[in-house]
Amino acid sequence: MVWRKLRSGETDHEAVWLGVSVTSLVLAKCWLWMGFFQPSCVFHTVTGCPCPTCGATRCVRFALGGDFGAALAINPLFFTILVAIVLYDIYAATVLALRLPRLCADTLPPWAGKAGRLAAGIALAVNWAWLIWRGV
Amino acid sequence: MNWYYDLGGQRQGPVPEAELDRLLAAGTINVNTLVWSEGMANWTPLREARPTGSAAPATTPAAVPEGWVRCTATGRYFPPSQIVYLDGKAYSAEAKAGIVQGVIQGGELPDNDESLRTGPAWEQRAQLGFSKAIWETIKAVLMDPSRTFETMKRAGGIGTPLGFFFVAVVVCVVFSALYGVLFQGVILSIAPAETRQQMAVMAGAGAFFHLIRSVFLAVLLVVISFIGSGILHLVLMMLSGARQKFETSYRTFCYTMGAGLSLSVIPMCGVLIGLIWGLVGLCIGLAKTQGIETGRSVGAVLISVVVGCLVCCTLYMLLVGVIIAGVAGMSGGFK
Repeated sequence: MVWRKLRSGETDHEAVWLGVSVTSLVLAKCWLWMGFFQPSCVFHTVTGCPCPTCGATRCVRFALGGDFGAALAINPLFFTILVAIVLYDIYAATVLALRLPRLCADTLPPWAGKAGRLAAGIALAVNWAWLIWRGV
Repeated sequence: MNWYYDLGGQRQGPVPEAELDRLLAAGTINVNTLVWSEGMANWTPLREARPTGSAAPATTPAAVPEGWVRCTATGRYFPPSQIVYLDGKAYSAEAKAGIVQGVIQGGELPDNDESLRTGPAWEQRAQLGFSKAIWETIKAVLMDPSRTFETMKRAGGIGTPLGFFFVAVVVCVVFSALYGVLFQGVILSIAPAETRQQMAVMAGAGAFFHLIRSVFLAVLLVVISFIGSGILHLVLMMLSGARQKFETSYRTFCYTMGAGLSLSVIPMCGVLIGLIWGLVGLCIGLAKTQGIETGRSVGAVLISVVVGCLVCCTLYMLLVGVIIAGVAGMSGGFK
């Protein structure tokens, strides 16, 4: 990972992800506020056990309402992802506003992709175990 | 010497040197296409694998001496000594004034060479086959949108991208209906025996509802592709970002949102992930196909999303209002 200016014609990922994530969060807030249809979990209905994404809507609702403890307890992985998105957005807004060099992954070691997928799989499994144990 | 080349992520070949030149001249491959030949350690872009011979004769092979390179800005061929590579593209000294003007005006290198744009794989489905072309296009758009849209054909009709989008829509509605019917089936199997017959009738009605809904959804999504890309292009024009025709915006919309829709095969959250991934792809894709800065394409996409949501909300409220008025009318009107 290196800090550098964007090259000519290079995709500005900070602008793309900042724009899409902020818009998605605002639309999610509006969706919840207007009380539109919220899908129930088929997996939970059929098996009685939560699926790996159960509690995500409630997590967003608690987080947007400022109740971070409840948001963390209802789905720790999704809350962590939300926090990561907010931190990334702060970073992206800062480098875009101040025209600073970007953090670029030009040369990742060959094992990085495999390690990332493994870590994501483990995080998903541990989170699912937590949801089942908690009975979310 | 025989060559292997990459087409839509698939290894093709071996082909002799002359055939490689013919493919280059036909626009099937370009100087950025990865090639490999015996003795090479890795797959390498054609311009690096054959630095003095990456350009092919144009339409008349005798007209261009062997080894001459095509200028990206002018489309004419020059000896390699008169060519410089800027940002991976070949430019001639003759194009210097145009390049300088393009950089001053738009901050970008001029790129008039449409022959370099041959993708995505769906455009080559006659060679690759239907299923492989679909799979390679979805994979390329979702996993490497920058490279995919740098080489996407900006013209050539709306039928081809519409075909891709329609296939993705069919996949989406079929899987959506399948999950719905499966859910009803499971519920039916675990229901108490005394209520099972009543529930079976409801499940039959539910299956019919899914069928009607699927057809309605498929038509609606195709209509949305035109309305959505129309709004998008209009916003691009307002932001001075519409450097290409509506057709280019439509093609980009169909490939990105079509690939996103294909993620609906993932149960539960597939549609949501596909929608967000599609928006990201659309931001990147429009920047590459319209030749504008990423910030401007992000602005255009997000303004279009907000406008689209407002239109949907208005239509929803109108529909609810009409239903309430209808029900009130049937029950004797408001008191």
